[in-house]
Amino acid sequence: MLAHAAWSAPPLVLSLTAISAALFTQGWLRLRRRGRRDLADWKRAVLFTLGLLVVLAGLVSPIHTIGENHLLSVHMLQHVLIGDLGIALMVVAVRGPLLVFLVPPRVLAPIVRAVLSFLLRPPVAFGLWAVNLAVWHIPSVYTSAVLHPVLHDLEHACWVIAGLLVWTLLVDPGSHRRLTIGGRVALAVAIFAAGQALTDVLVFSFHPLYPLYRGAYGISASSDQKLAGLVMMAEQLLTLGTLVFVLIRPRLRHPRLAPA
Amino acid sequence: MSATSFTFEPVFLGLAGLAALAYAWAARHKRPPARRIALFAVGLLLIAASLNSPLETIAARRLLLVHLLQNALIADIAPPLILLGLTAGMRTWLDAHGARRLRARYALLAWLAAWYGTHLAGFYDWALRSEWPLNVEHGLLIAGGLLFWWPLVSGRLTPPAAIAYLGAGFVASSFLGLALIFSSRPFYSFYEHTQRLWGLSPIRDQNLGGIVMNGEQTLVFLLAIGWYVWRLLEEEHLGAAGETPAAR
Repeated sequence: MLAHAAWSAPPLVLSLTAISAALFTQGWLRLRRRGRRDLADWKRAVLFTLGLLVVLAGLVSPIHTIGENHLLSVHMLQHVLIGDLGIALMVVAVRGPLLVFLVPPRVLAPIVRAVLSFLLRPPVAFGLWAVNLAVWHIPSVYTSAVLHPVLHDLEHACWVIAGLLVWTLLVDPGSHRRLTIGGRVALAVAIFAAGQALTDVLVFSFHPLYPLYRGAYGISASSDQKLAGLVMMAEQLLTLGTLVFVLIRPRLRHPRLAPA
Repeated sequence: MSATSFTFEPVFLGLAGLAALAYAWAARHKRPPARRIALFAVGLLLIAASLNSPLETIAARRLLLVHLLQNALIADIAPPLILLGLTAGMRTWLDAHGARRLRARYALLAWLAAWYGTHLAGFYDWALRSEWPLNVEHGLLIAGGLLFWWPLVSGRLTPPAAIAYLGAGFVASSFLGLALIFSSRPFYSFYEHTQRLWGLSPIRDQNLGGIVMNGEQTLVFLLAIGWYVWRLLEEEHLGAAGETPAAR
């Protein structure tokens, strides 16, 4: 098999995937055994599995090897899969009582609850997400991460955690009401605006910002960089756009308001 | 002709003058707030000045980049400013005289048709070579912009509907700018053979034009969406306090 199309099997990734799948399965089965199949139906299982597969695809499929060695745009695809799309699907899958059944009570010690409660404050979660986005795209940091596997793993962990924080606020799987509907729409718009700032830097730049990437598969380094921006914009429009539409859909037929 | 020479599209000077006169006539009994007058004046000035200045000379004879900047000014920025400059009474009068019948979905389609239609290579090149159709191109862009922003400024859309409307407009209109940015061959043959400025090649000129268009639209649409998100939050706040916007 060609190096650029290689699959990989990082033990840490596979272990975490197995743990996530096991946690979901036991919670899903427990809820079903209690007679609440309506809250733990097959659609939830399919959504969670899909989310897990999306994250896994980003980390073990050729997306990982091509992104690491050849194309910035594929590396960007990997980041949005593991930090956005996959996480969003999984958070949507566990909303409602299933979330309580997912995590064993012993895990949620007071200290863990306190830390989560702090991290899930909207300004904190958004701030961490935005800083994470900015820091990992500084060319020198980006290059170091690609060259050092441990740092690269840390980068991916940061994407997953930052994604989990903001998508927990956006979807509100536990109905904690940390944000109103308007607040969730505002957060989605803020995330898109922050992502758009990075997109614009990548798309509007005529010179490659990341020297490791010199183009491949007939794509020049400059086009590859523009494509990376486009990948991010398209994925955000898909995920955040869908979320905003779902949130505002019931309110699209309100009475007429006063003019601007 | 020097790049700093003035070129004129007198029809738009005349239309801007007529619009100013109509505004003054409509405001003869009650002086509008200064900010409304300023918004209306800036909107008219953007149209009149960008079509009757060295900007027009460069746009129509030298660089696509400047032509696209000009189009963005008259289609995306001037129309909302002009409409925001209208007082409630003026908007009511417009509604009573037919504007009420303009549905948001048709306004969006009309704006998109004007946006993409005027940028089709055949039409664009023909307008530039024949000169007088440039008036048609610019007229369509201004009219499309006014139609697009009217449902928003007239207040008929709730904040959620306005967010959906603006989101649809942003996504649907972005393909042209992206196509120009990603293109590797010139779309408009007219600009391949013109005397150029600032050492820009035709393709770099086109890519930069796409960047200007895309950047401007991102800014305008995100600002507008941000405004409606703010109003959505305000409504929720008032709802939670048991008030209504009217009661405030």
